[in-house]
Amino acid sequence: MSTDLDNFAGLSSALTGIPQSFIAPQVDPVGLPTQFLAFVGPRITISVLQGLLTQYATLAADKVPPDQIAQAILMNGTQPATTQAAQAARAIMKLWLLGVWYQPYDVDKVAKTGDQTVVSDQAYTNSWAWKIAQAHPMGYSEFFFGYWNSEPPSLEDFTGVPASGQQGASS
Amino acid sequence: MRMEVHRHRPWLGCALFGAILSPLAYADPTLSMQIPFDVTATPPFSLTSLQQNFDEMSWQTFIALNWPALDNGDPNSGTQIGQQDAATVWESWKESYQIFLPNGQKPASWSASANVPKACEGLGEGRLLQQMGKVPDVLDEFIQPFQSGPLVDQAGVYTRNEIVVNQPMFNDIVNNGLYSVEGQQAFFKASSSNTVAFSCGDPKTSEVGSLMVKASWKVLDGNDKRENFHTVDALVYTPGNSDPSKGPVVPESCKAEPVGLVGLHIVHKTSSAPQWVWSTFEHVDNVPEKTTPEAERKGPYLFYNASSKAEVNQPPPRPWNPAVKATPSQIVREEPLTAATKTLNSTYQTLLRTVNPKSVWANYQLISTQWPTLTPQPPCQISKTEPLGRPAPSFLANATLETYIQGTVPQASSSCIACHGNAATHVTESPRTSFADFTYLLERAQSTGATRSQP
Ligand code: HEC
Repeated sequence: MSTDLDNFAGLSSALTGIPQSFIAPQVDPVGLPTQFLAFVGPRITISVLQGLLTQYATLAADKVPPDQIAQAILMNGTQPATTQAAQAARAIMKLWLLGVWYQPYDVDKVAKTGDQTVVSDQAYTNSWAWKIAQAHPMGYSEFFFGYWNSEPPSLEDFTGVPASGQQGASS
Repeated sequence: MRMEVHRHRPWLGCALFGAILSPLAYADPTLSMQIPFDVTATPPFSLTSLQQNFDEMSWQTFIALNWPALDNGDPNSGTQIGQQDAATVWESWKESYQIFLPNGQKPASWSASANVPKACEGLGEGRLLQQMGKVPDVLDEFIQPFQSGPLVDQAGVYTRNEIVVNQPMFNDIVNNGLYSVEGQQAFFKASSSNTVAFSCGDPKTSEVGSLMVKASWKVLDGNDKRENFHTVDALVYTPGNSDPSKGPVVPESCKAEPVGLVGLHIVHKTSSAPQWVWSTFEHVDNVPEKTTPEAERKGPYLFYNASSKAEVNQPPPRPWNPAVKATPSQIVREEPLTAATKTLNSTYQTLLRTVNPKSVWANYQLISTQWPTLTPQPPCQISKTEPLGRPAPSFLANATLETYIQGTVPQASSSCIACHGNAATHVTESPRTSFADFTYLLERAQSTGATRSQP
């Protein structure tokens, strides 16, 4: 049986289009999935979180492809869904992409709509927007001196997704 | 241009580790003079299990490197480690000052013996400590990375550091001409695919690969029990400086003194760890852990005084002049050892005591091992997108060598791999030419030409 953590990693992968082995490596010294799951729970409420994880687990068990799972969560026909679950899912996508949490709705005694915070230094340095841009976060680079003189590695190298492929969902 | 695709492979399906697994896997720790070719990873793989495997590799490497050596530097198979304290295998390796010579001269052959400075002549045999790497940075081997400051023992004396490399790494430097600035330029010009890439240890070919060692020594004084240390008779050399703009004016001096090993970095490049494996050991008496309540810091410690109220982990005030007695450093270990490492340490210490209950080597402990969690594809090759290979643990420091940059503050505290990833050659025109493969040694290369000033 999958754990909440597995389902959260799978959900995150479906939402962002980034392979699960990249989002949640098996040997992972950073541990963003654990960090994010713990962070997100109280902020979107445990019931919304559990709803999302169950929806993901059910669809994944039925072998629904990840991009269709994302559609099911995020969309209402051709329009973006306005449910709390969809808003929470969008906030989770932004969290992976930017390392920033944007509070999607008011949660009593926890957070107000629009509150925003950088979740951790690791959330920032490992945020995916930089990798999708084939670049590195401002103020943090692992590349070796003079890297700006050479063409960056490919999108696929950075994200596991080839540049021609159209993966992930709109929202 | 299309670059080679780097794939993140889970450890489980990794052919590389599969290959290492069965034939060499040993559950029981052993005392062997064979340097491990690579880590022996035992499934099921997890961050914790692999950390344990890399820590085991650290201890096995420590034992092989500290094995008593024959005159030619080979391990002496006729004895066991620690039967008595003796010159070790790594002490026969080449020191940085013998490789990066003034005017970029070619180093003497591997087996040639070292020259001693004039000031040390006539003092008898001894291991030369604290030679200068390059002339203007007179005190370079006292000063820790980025001038964070020297370490002073309880007697007010500066600890001394030295750096050596093994023969494969020495050969890679010499055969590619990397020992001089002009040699480095020629190397990169010779082919547009030339990059600095030291050889990797590989169990498939039984190659040990490149190793480098950085050691810290304290001068033994009346308060030290010599029998507790691995000791050598050293020629403790202080290069002179007559130019006040370059640091305190220091007369050249050389003194024959016994020194004891207090810290040891062992760094090994292997097929599964092209970002190298970073092991660090210390004498068990060095410092208390920060988390140990003050009342329980019994000691006596080599770099901490239980009755002093001095602020901890502060570098000594400048000027740093090794010729003058300094205020003792007051050092604590910021990050405690993990329970698993402590257990492994006592396993190996116990094993060492089976050879000799008073084995000096049982007085050393592994602090931890930093290793890249990203499996290289192909082996021995760093990832283009994550060149540091996602190190674990994120931070690691030796209290004698990264004294003032311990801790876990991002971008500030000591990460061996992250800091050494900034090491460069003298040819900084592109990443290909500037990349020094995680060693600062190539920055020591001097110029053969008259264009660079030498005092
Ligand atoms: C803040 C940067 C920094 C950190 C962190 C750091 N080092 Fe170094 N290291 C250096 C510099 C600079 C040198 C060369 C000058 C010297 O010896 O002081 C060096 C030298 C060495 C050498 C000798 C070979 C060489 O590259 O010159 C070894 C071996 C080594 N370090 C191991 C380690 C280990 C193991 C760790 C982690 C426990 C570590 N270092 C952490 C900067 C760093």
